[in-house]
Amino acid sequence: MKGLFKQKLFICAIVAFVLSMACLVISSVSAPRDSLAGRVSTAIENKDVRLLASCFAPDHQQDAETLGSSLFSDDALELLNAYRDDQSKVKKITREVLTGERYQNDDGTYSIPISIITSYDGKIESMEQTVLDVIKVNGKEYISY
Amino acid sequence: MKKLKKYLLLILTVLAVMFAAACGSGTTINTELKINEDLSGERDMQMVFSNSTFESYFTGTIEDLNATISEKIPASMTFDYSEADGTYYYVFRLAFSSPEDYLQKVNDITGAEHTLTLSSPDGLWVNGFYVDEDFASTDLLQWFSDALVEKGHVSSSNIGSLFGDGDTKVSYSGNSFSTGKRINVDKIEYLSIGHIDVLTEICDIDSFNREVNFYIPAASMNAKGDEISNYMSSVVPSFATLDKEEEDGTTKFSFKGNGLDVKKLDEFMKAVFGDGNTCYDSDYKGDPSPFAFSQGFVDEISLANYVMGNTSTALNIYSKVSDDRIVLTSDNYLYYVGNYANLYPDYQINVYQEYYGNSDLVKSVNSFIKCYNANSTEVTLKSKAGGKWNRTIEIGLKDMPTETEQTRILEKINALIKTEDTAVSDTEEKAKDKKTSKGTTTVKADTKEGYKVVIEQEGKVNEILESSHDLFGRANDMQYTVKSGAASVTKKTALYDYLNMRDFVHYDMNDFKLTYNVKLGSSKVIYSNIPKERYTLEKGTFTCTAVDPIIEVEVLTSSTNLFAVLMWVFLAAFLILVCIMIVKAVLAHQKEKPAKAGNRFCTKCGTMIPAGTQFCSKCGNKVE
Repeated sequence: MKGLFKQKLFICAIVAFVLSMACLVISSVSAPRDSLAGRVSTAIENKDVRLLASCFAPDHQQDAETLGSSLFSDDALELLNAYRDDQSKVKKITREVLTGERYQNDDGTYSIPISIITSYDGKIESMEQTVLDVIKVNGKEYISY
Repeated sequence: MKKLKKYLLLILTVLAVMFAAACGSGTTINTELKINEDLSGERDMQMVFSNSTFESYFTGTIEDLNATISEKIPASMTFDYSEADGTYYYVFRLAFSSPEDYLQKVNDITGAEHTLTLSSPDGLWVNGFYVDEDFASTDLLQWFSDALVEKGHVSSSNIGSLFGDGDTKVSYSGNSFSTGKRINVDKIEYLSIGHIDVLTEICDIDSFNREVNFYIPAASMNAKGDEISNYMSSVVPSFATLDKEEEDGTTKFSFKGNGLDVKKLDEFMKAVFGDGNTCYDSDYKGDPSPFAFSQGFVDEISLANYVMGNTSTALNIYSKVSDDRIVLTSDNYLYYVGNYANLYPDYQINVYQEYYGNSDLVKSVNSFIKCYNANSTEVTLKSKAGGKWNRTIEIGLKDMPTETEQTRILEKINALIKTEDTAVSDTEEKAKDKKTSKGTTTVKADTKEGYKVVIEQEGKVNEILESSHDLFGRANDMQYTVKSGAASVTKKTALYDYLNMRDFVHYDMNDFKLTYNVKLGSSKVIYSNIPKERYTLEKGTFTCTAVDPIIEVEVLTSSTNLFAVLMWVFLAAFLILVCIMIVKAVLAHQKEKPAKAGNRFCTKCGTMIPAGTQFCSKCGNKVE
């Protein structure tokens, strides 16, 4: 009797594990992660200028770094303006990046849609849509500038 | 002294001859234009050289000259040569079979574009003969002058004074008329007409009412009233009517034809005005949208049978539309009447052209568009399995198009969908599906309540967007993005849909409503560009409206990632079960351990019972 009970427990545990892994797989499949888009998202969300620049084609990484610096320094300016307007309302700017499924264009290149949600002190202020055009340089994918 | 006078007279005579030779013409060109009843004819240009003129101007023999003429004469021209009493006669002849043939030959010979009017109306209103040219015989014989210089028969300094214009006359029907070197003979007689009005009422894009009114003054009616009435009765088309009214001494003859198409209009105009009149479809410039139908026709009106060359008679052309779905376009030739009395105030546009006579055609263009306004558009967007979406756009029209127009609407929408694979059908039951890499776009009509066009787009977001670009223009945009880790229990989705159908549908802002629905399911809206008071969220459907066919929707939603939740639940269950199994195993292990070592324990207090003892030394319990 005890052996049978032990066996049932074991089977249940195995089934639970298998089901959890199955759910994980389904969840992963339903929300595929694009590595390039993932890096861009991380860079924007963490305001990591260097990471953002590294996502762009090598020829344009310098320009991208300048652009990124400008973009993220605007946050500081925004904060400064907010501070000047009303010192009690210093806002913290955060960005969240949502990515779409990449698709192939007529010319064979790929594009990845992304949405950037900008929040001031946790309150969503804007939702911008853009499309990242992907190019391959030496077998590695970058965003074309 | 006498000798001196003789010498002086001789010198003066020689000088006079030299002066005459230097300043006058060697010969003149006499022209006769002979016109036959059928307007064929010939133009004779005669030159006469005396022997002395020939010797004064020409180098070489008369045979050399004839050889040069034979070599250089244009193919459409002939020449005759004769000689009598030391005088050389040349006649250059240009024969023609019709005025058009005549003008073509003149243009070919001169290498320029000339104008020629040649007519001989013989009717009640106009009769006689009219010819007008903008060229002279010297223009037609320029090749002769050039050949003489080229071949060295005449020096280039003398050629200018060799030919001069002589007499010019025109012969027609046994009469001869003298004219200038550029022929102009006007022997036309008119029976006066006050004015002629052509009215068009555009009832539909292929149905027109036409009215042509002739206003005949009393003088003409008094002179030939019966003949005029008989003439009018003889030209009325079989499908039209003729009314006669008299007012203030003027008699109005009114031809009316209703419900005519362009072909019938052509027949109407040919019957009333003559064979030179035409009415034809104007160039099709394409419809601005699937719900609009461009149409137009051109009237080329010739009054040659009535007022040839008489500029005192005005031709007035009027148009109006009698269907508020139809509008006249700017392609129409608009000539507003200045001080002219408008006899037809209910006509929206007064087109006025004065007839400038001759055989020129007065061209009148009527261009118009019939538009079917949409009064409702319902857009429904929902996600499907496999990352696909379905967007249905139902466009309801205010008025029911005709069956032909319904077919054309579907054809035009289907033509916008760029694809290679097509399956043709045009009814609700047999919809037209076009499957491509752009997803599937289906267009069908729904006639249950009024007329609706239902466009169904299915595919991935970028495929629906491509389909929208084809249908509605490049301004359309659509995007769907997600933020969700595989193990994250919450999932954020952002939907952006910019639907711009301004070039696709016609609408009246006061009578149009667009309803946009997105089926979000159990998701919660955490942000939208549409203010809260302008959208509703019922049973998981986000709904907003617009008063024009353009809408931009941004919706950020949050939902539970069911599979991630299940994954965590099953993982937790697994861990709990594993823990239970571990605990059980430990306990079992502890129970089995004494038996294996030979030790026993009191079942009541757990104190070890030494071997050979039957009672617990602590509690006295009996141990078996």
